[in-house]
Amino acid sequence: MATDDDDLWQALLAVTGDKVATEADYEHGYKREMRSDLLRYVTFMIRGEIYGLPIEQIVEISTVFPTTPVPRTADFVIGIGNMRGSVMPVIDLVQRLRLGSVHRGRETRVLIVRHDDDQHGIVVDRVLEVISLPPEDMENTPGGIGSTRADFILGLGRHRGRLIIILDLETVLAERDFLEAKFRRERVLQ
Amino acid sequence: MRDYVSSILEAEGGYEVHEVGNGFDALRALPRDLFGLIVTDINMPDVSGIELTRFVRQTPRHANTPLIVISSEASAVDKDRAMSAGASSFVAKPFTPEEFLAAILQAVATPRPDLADPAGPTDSGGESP
Amino acid sequence: MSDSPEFVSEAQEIIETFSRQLLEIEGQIKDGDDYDPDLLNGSFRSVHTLKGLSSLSGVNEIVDLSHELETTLDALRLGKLPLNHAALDLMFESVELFQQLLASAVDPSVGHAVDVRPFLARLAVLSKPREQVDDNPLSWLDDSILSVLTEYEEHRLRENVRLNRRIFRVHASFDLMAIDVGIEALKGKLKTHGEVITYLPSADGSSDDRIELDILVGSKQSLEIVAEGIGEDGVIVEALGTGERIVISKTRASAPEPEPEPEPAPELERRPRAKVHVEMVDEDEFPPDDGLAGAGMLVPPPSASTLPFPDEPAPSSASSGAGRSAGAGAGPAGSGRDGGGRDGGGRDGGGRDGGGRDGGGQAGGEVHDDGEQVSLKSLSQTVRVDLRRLDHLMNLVGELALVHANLAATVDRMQRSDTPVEQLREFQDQLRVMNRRLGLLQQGILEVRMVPLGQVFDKLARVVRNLSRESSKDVRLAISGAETELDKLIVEELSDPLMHMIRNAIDHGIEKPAERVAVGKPRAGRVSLSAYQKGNRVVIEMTDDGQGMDWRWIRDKAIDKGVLTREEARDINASQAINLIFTPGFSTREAATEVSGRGFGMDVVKTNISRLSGMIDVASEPGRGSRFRITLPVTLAIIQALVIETAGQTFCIPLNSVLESIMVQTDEIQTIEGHEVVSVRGRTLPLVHLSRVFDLEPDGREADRRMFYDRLYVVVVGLAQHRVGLVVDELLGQQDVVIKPIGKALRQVPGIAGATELGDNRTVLLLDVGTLVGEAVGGVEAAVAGIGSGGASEGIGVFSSSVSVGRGKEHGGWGDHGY
Repeated sequence: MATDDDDLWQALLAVTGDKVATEADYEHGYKREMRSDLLRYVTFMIRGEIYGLPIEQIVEISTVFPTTPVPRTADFVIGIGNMRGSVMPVIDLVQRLRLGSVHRGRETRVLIVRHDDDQHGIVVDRVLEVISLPPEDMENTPGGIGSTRADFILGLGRHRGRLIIILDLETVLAERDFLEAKFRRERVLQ
Repeated sequence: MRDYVSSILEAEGGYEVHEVGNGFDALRALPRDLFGLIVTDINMPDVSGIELTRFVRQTPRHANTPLIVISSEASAVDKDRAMSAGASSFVAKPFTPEEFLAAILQAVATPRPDLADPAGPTDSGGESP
Repeated sequence: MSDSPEFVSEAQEIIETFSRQLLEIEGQIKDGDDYDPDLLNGSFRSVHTLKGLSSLSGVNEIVDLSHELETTLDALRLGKLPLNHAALDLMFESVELFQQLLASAVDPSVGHAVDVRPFLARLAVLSKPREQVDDNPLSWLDDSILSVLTEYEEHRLRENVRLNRRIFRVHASFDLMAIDVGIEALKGKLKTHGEVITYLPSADGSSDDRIELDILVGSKQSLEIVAEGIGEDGVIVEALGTGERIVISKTRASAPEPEPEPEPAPELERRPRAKVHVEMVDEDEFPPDDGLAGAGMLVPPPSASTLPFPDEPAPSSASSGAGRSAGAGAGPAGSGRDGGGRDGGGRDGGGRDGGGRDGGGQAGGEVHDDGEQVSLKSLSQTVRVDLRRLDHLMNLVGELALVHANLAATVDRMQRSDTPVEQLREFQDQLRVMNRRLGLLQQGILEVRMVPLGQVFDKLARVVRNLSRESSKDVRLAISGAETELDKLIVEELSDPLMHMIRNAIDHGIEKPAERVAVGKPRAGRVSLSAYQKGNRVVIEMTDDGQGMDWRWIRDKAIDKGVLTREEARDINASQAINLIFTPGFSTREAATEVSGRGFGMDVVKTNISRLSGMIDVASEPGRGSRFRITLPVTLAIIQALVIETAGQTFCIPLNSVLESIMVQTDEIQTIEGHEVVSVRGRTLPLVHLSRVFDLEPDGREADRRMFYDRLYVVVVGLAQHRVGLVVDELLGQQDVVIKPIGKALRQVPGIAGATELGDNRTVLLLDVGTLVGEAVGGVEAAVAGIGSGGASEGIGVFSSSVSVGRGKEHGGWGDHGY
């Protein structure tokens, strides 16, 4: 685990440069937690809100790479892309959360996540940092969040006074949603 | 099972372990090499543990070597026959490392005066207990 | 830990082996033979291994079940329980339970918790020990033999006596180095005559390079036949209880002693030593009879005084060495080596010697190619590999191929520069070598992915067994070609369609026993599965000898269901009609039965096969049975593809479903009920615009072409009896492409089979022609009255050259870099 994390740190630093807060940063005016049950999240910004994904689910953070559109898929599916020889679906997270669509820019990144044995690329506006949250700072999804999005949210955390929305890959990457609505039906033998 | 026994012998007993995969390989190794302790399962395809025990006792250089027989079920018949074929002690699966080590102690400690000793005291050639 | 893929695949393999062993035992019992005790032993070991494996992985449910089962199997193999159908049924049930337990260990969310308690309860009832009637049929046997037998071996000995077999003791001497080879050879001969009960080794006092073995064999044959079958010089065969013995000698035919009694006589108390018959060999060449009296007594071997020690040279006992030098596996070196040093270092003079010593059995098996490999060894020579690792290797090969392509392009540039001709030539030569090696590498990786179809067939054998029970039909499954190999992925994907077909065959095909007898068929129905390779395709056939299908009935049914119009029906032939069962919405029986009525029909089977780039067709004769034939590519990982472009996007079409590429004049296109068709050589071909079915925004090129050139590119694709013309903008060329999995999420996209790379780092989608054709014929073909016109099999497989494929353009660069 430790080495995986280290790799990820390297990747984060390489991609986002000084944007990533390191452990050292925390020690300035921020008491370094010595706890072992802290969960770590990669956070990213969408439309001014901070979202997070558990760090274990993220394989790599990449700059944008070319994709090929796939017909008959839902609008949030950008297409398939080839990341070092492995082909994966790439989705627009902003569109998936029904918040518009990603504004491609200098800071646009692709989170390569592993879900259900497959890799997926998730395009986000901007990657922020890796944070640690103690489990007790996590809340379940309260009411008041747009009900359409509630499905995608695993829980809410608070970090330095800001709300972090932790996403649930299980629903964000739900297979059946990848298909264009009219093609969604059981087609294969079970 | 073999790995389990080996690991006990190596980790707990400090033995250097020479493993063989079946009875025939044991037959091949026994007359050539010297061993400080022989461990065999009763149920092996082809040559059984009892037969191997008998063979070991016939092999001059191993007439006195401590020999432990392992059996998967505590079959009284098999146990008796193994012991009378010349086994030093007997362990029934499943066993803990402690039980196995106890069996080794027993095997090493028990002299077998009933056996002739044509080869003289056996050297602990391959192993360093 | 518990769901580690290593564990799962290994456990799966063991369970399948277990099931295969059970099936084999059942088959032997059914055929009225005595079952092979090795099979029962093997099944015991399988369960034992499974227990160990699962306890390592912490899957306690499997540990518990296998523990109980192991106890029962142990009792069965020791003869404490009768091996009957009730016992076998429980064993088969355990296979299912194991699989459920394994499935829930992999994914606890799948299904409900598996409750093994009812099963264990029944197992306990079965395992209740019965009083054994011990009439001690072995009283005639020398105690010295009995005392070294394990309980199991004793049971086998009793079993052999009970079956009225004679018990023979075969005495042979083996060279230590080659002992496994020698024994395997002898065992092979003995096994043809009966059952090898045990081996009783004894040190050959004359030499510590040799080992003497007494082998107990149970056989119905006479002493002479057994001895003849062994045919190895110096081997002694003795019929226990009679005192008859033969010393085999090849130099002079051993005149067998007439046997006084036809079978071993238990009433004979002891083997009368006086009656020992000796031939050709001096009395003192025999091993001492006391050699068997092992219990608590060590008999000093004759040469005990010259026992070899590490520090003293052992004199080679020339006389006894010569006497036995013709023994199995003994080379002349056997005795000559005796004089060598005793410590390990001094012994590696002979290459054969050193190898045998270090490598255990391995070296012996390699040196002597006449010896059969012991199964234990072959196991250790296989490696379990995660398919993803192979995919990764394949990706690397693909990338190497790209490097190669770049290098080739460099050479092209060099040709135009001032590079010396010789250097250039050398470069080109090396490039060609590299290309060949790459091809071999790719081929090698593909071969690693191959697994025998037997894996699926074994599962199906279980299905047949269960189904024939549920449907109270007697069904025998005949399997051939189980060793035919296919890509692992294909084999996995095949099991569901094949299972469905088998279900159909048993449920709808095979008649009830009474009906069969009434029409003069054998009572037991027969389903056979066979596989064979044909070029780079594999053909799997499933036939049944059931009631078959009447094509007229199917035709009428299709009309009722609206699958076929009356006009179409008029021209339809038998073969076409029968193949209508693959049409969506067609099912041969309304009432879903417990067995096969799961709500999907043969159309789904066909869809699944098409996904594997395969084809399926069926032939049937009423009263005689049906035959389904599936043709599959050997591998999915690399295929030949036709690269096309439409609406500005590039796609690949598997070449094996492309019949031809043609150019169609726009004015040839007709419209039938809103669907475009074109007539090709008298046959009506429905047209499908890829850009339309995929909702791609046309970039205007197609429109341009219509306007300026009046013609379209049409790729004619076909699966089974259907064909459709795909209208595309450009044909870019043919290429070998490496298929890459696109993940579960996108795999479900209808019409897309996978993705590949085309050299310029573009990812390109591979079309699933089967699905596209299926979609098209659902709508179009129904409207086209041409379904019955023309022979269904005419004109297939011509890749037309009527169009210049890969016509220039900027894509030409990568068009031809396949292997």
